[in-house]
Amino acid sequence: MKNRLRDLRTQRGWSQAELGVRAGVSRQAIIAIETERFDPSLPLAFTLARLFGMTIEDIFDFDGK
Amino acid sequence: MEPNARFRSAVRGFYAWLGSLVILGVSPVLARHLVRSGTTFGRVAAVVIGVGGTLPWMWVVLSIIRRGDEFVRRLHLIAFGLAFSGSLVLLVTLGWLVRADFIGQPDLMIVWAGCLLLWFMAIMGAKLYFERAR
Repeated sequence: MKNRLRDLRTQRGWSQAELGVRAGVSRQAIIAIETERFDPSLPLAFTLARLFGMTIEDIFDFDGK
Repeated sequence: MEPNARFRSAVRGFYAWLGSLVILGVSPVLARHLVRSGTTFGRVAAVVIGVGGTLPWMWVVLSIIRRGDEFVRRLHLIAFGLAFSGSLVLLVTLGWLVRADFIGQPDLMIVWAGCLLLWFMAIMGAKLYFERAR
């Protein structure tokens, strides 16, 4: 699924590892989401959205797939 | 989990993995030595030690996967699927090569090592797939 995770993360100056720690997942999980190979579960998508102060739809583009 | 707690847990996991690898490596040597004794007790002990030596490593691997996040679990699920399919193909191929008299009965230890290698390759393949950009 297309997403803006990499842009949002770099805007805040966070590394993939740092975002992983904040979201409670591994750096590999963040890499896989950013490369759009892995779609996160609903709880993880909510966690990521809350970290960036946005809604899930602001980060993940379901229609763009 | 806090970063420090996560680090400590990872270190513990690493040592458990290392310890279980040592047991995995030593147990076949010990089991082979016991088989050579030729006694019933020795042969039974060889089977128990040979099989038992693999269990700590499998337990450590499974607990590492269980403690991982949703991505780690997905990765290993895919790797297990690939490794199982690959092992099935390997066993069927060997079976037919033996039936057709192209090769003799293969050493099961080599087959076992082949299955392990397939599993490792499946993990690496799945990891590469997820990390490669579309």
